[in-house]
Amino acid sequence: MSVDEEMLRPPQNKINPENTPYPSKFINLADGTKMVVRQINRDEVKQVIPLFYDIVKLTDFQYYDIVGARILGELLAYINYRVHDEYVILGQDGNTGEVLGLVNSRLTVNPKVGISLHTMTFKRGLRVGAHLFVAKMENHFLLGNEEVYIVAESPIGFRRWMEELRLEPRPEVEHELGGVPSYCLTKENWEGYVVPERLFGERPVPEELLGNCNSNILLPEDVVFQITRKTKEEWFNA
Amino acid sequence: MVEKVPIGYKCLNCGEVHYPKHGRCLQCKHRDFEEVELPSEGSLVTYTILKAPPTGIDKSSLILGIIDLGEVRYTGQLELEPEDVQLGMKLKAVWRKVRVIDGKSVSGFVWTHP
Amino acid sequence: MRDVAIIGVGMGRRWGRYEGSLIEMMAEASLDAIEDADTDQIDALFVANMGAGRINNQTALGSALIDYLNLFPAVGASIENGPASGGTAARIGYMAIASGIHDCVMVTGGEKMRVAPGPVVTDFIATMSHPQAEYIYGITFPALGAMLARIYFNKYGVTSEDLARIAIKNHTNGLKNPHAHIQQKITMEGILTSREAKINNPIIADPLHLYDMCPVTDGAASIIMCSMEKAQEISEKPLIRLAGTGQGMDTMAVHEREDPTFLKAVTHASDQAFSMAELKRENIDFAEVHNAFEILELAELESAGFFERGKAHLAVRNGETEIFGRFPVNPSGGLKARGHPVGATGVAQLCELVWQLRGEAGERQIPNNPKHAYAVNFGGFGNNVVVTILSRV
Repeated sequence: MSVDEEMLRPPQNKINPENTPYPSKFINLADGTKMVVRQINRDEVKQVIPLFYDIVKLTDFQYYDIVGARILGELLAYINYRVHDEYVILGQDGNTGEVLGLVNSRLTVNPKVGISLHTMTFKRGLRVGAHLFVAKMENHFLLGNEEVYIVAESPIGFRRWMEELRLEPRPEVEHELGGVPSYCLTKENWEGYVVPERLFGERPVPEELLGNCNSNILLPEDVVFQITRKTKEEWFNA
Repeated sequence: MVEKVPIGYKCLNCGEVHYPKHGRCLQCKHRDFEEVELPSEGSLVTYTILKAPPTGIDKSSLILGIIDLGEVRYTGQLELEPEDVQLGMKLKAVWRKVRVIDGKSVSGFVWTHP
Repeated sequence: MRDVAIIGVGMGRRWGRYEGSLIEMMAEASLDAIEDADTDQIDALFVANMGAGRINNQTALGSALIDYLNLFPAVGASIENGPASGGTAARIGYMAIASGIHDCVMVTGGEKMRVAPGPVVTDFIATMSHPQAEYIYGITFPALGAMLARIYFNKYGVTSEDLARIAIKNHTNGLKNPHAHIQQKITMEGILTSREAKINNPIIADPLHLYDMCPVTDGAASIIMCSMEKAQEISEKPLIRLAGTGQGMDTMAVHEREDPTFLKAVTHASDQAFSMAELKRENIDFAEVHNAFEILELAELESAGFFERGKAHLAVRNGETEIFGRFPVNPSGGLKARGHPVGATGVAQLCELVWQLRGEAGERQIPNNPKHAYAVNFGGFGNNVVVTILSRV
């Protein structure tokens, strides 16, 4: 029996059937960079994927290997239509198009509950991850989720999300990332604390910045150096 | 129970009052002191709202300040809402557990509305 | 007393996180200084370090470094004087040579701080505060910096924007310093005036923000000093004389000081160093000051007598303290950008002074051949301060 590839694809997105993308915005970073935050499509995801071929090899460095490997898997699943209602948001330098960070999420465990997948920063020390994480949460709530399940794979992630965003523990929920006990961002916390205190960015993004980013997904020259402060050569020869 | 009040150390030679305790007077180098009770109300000289308290403080935010009691000043924790803190405001000392150090609970003065 | 010269300086690799051991890190800086001085004929080594016994489980670092580098028959010791350990060790090295006890002394400072989590490091630094009157209440050094800043804001009209200006200046300098831990541009919009600055630059100890404070850094620095006579014989570099040294003290509890904005120990240490060097404030071409918090850059410059009290921020507003300004301050980026491995800082300040005075500071070189330079190394929260003045001969 021949299997039609289409059969293997997930059903239509439940709460975003039109696949309306996250509304792009830009954020001022400490170094003056205007970071454009925008959702990227499958073709653009393909351009970002090679970044992770190096990152998955960063063993014993703040869990970059496991987080990198999982993101790589999720992005491959996304471009091959093997994951349900995933979205990928990129942070890019508005002047150069350089990729600064990436976040991804899934909209529906059920229509009311979203599930946060991963956050990774390629240029550190500028709070890129903090801004992008909140942007992906914004998309969940814009599209009608009432809460989002979140776990962390690194202690840095735990401090950033669980502590700084004051998430509620939901130990009875086994998160789909390995079944570990989940935390939850509720709509009440989102509206009462995160939106006024931690959600930033301006819309619309000036055409010029958006144009730079759309036309040029520039990967960091040496992402290993940006993450570890050792060049790719030094790191892999050590 | 008698309320604990801030204590100063008065030099028995020149009368200079100190806090904290010194082995010799900062004024005349004399070695003998008597403990004197200080007013438990004073005014706030400066303060900070510390968002990164050290180990042993089980709070995410801690108000610390320096309080002028006339003859001496005290450093201590402030038990106030952050928006209520004002330079120069009058504060009163109360004795409270302030920190856990090496597994032991330590008490000291906490300053609040009179 | 004999005249003393600094003939070699070195800082090893770029500061930040060091993966090897504390001794290996200090050895790298020491070997750089040996190479720079072109001699390893050292009679004594003083190692400056504050917390290895507590955070790296190692003590007696003087012995350890002599052993590791085979500096035998040199003798040595560790010097601990809080964040002023480096300046203090250099001062003791000076005394050893000036007195004639030793001819050639190496001073190496180092601190490996990034092994411990942030709150542990903060608490370790806080152990310098008064145990009963300050420490038990949860006083941290950022808290003391913040309480000083609040008085400054109130009394002299200093603003968060002034502190941000100093941070921007120091980051700009740090970008030109290959040794600096922090090599990142920052802008006023990014750290203060945009809405998102709240996330980029959060308040840590109100009114101080993240970018008003130094980072936690691993780093080492080393200098080699010898008698001027010997320096004239063996050194081929421009001769740098240790023209003045001073040390000042103040009460341990900050609240016992009559005016907490006046850093008496800085004044005393500076007065001694100036009088010994027979120089006036206006003879100094640039300064490295101990800006663990940017507010200290102002307070130290004023207490040292370079600016009137409550006026240094006006000079900052006019750009006077930039590298090409009238009186450059922290051309290295200071503690803010170079980093503040506590035991190393005082020694690193002297390295910067030497590089600038020799004209070897590269992109961050201060113009017009500076001749006299000043460094203040601030220990405790200002209760133990060392000032050094160097002059190109």
